[in-house]
Order: sequence, then C-alpha cells, then structure tokens
Amino acid sequence: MDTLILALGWVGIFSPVALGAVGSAIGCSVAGQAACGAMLDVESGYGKFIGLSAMPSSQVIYGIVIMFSLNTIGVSVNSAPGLFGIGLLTGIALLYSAVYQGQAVAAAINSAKNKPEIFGLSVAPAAIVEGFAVFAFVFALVLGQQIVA
Amino acid sequence: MVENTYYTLLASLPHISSLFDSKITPVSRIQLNRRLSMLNHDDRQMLSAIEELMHWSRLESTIDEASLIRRTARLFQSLPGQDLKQLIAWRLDMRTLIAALRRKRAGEKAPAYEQWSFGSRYPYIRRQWAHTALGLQHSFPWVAEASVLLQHRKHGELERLLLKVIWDYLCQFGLKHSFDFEAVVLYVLRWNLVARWTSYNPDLALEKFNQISHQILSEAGMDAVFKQSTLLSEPEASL
Repeated sequence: MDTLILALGWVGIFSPVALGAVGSAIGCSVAGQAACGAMLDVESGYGKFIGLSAMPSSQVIYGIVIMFSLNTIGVSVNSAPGLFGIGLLTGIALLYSAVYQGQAVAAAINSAKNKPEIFGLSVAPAAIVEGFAVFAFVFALVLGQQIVA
Repeated sequence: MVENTYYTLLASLPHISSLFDSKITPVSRIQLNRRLSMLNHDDRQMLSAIEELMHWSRLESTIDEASLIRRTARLFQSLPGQDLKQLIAWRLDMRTLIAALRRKRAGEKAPAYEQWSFGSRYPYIRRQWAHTALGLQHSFPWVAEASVLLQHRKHGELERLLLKVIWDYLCQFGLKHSFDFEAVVLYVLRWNLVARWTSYNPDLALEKFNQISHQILSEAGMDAVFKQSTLLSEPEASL
C-alpha cells in the first residue's frame, strides 16, 4: 500500500510538467497551423503571427517550476497524497488552458489577419486564458508549501 | 483532439465581408481549390458532393428529377454531423418552397405523387398547397414576400431577396463554427454566393437575350420582327 501511495506522490510531482507539455504541444500546434495559414493570405507581418502562436508554451514552463517546487518537499507516505492532489489538478488545469489558449490564439490570428488594426485587442481573450493558468500556477506554489514532508 | 487542417485552411482564406457590396470574389476559384486541397480525401469528396447538390450547374445535364431526388436523399444520409444536415435540409427546403411557388404561379395543382421534391418539408408543402405561403410563413418568414414578388414578376428583386435570405442564414449558422468542416462548407457556400452575385451583368444578359431571341426568330423566319424589337429595346436598355 505504501508503494502505491509513494507512486501517486511521484505522479503528482511530474503531472504539471507532463500534462502542461501535452497542453502546450496541442495549443502551439493549433495556433501555429493558423499562423501558417494566415501567412498564405498576407504579404507581411509574419513574425507577429509566429510569435503569437508560441503563447501556449508558457503552461509547460509553469509546470516545470511547480515540479521543482514540489520535488523539494520530498516524496513520503505523509506528503504523497498532497503532492498527488495538487500536482495532478494543476497539471489538468495547465493542459486545458494551453489547449483553449491555442484555439483563442488561432481565432486572434484569423481576425488580425483580416483586420490588422485589431491585433492587440484580438490577443485579449488568449491573455485572459493565460491568467487562469497563472492562477493555477501561483496557488499550486502557495499550497505546496503547506505539504508536510 | 483537434483537426489541425481546418485551422491552416480557414486561416489561409480571405475574409468575405459582404455579399451585395462585393465587386469580385475575395479569392479566385483556382486559388480556392488549391487551398481546399489541404483537406483530406473524405472531406474533399463530401465538399464536392455538397457543392454539386447546391449548384445544379455542376450536375450532368442528362439527370432527371427522380434521379436528383434519389441522389440528394443518399447524400443527405451520408452527411457528417447534425448541424450540416440541418443546413442542407434548410437549403433544400428553400428550393422546394420556391419550386412550389413557381408551380402555383403557373397554375399547377399540388403534385400528385408523394416524393415530388426533397428536403424535410415537401409532404407538408403538398398538403398546404392552397395556402398562400404554403403554411410556412412562421418557419420561413420571407415566403410571403417572395410569393408577392413572384406574382408581380419582379424576378430581379426576388433573386436579391433569396440571396439575402441565404446569406443571412449562412452568417447566422457560421457563428457556431469556427475551425471545423462545417466552417469550410460555409466558406465555400458563401464564396459561391459572391461568385454568383458578382457574375451578374445586365449588359451581358441583354446581349445574351437578344442573341437567343435572334436565333429563335431567325429559325421561325421572323428576322424583321427581331430587328424592330431590338431597336425598341435599346433606349430602355440605356436607362
């Protein structure tokens, strides 16, 4: 039983990175494909589309920071349940925020391509999604400090 | 989890802002086909079948009405997704409605056989034949206006009304779909509407009409009548 609990603790530690990476990969892929499509239709401003399409990569970075933070606590029978709960749920939040941020970025690229003057505003929905990922990141760090080793 | 082809394809297509203000199509058909080649084989086949159904000019000229109805029913069953079925059914119902209004205008009675058209409302239309708006004034609010325009032979205004109705419906439908196959179908249908509208040319139409009239009257040995009618039509045409 203890082995299972310890294994779940390790799952919790690595989940933010693994799930964040999956989400970022999907999000960047979706946004990147939209950027490639947009570049077929416009004559300039390619850089800003490609730059914008990298926006969902932040989730995996948050995941890495959380992983290191949780790892400093150390996996024990006492700490594993806390690590599992916080790590897994943060990972799921990062995954979904990255996927949906990718879709928001794709929509922004599609809109800004047709109407360049709204580029800044069109990024706002994606930035709001980023805010939710930051919430998950920050509170995972805060709560992680309360896990007793 | 996501169909990435649709993101690339739809982002690569120029925006179609309006129908009646368009002077040219936002992208040529050759360029559009090149972009549509990003779709996988099944999607391309389905899109082609839908276009064939929506634009009869793409059908072979020898096809009869019964075959067309059968083919439509077959395609309708193979459509992926409820939303697409709803869109196509609405468009087919619209066709059936206009056909019914034209038949009524010509003084024809309700069709004798049950499978007289396609869509989802043809049995109802057949039952409501005597009604001015075929009993569909609530589901299709434009029917009454279309009926009046048809009665008064205002074909240009009728065409404009129908195009506007289709355009508005497609725009409304598009709010639900951003980056999926339905959005691709919507884009192509809207592109076709713009292509149709921008191809309308009154001068060319008059020239074509005169050409056909001349051909028919020549065959009937009434060339003198044609010359007189052409001369009479010229001042009106210049207006």
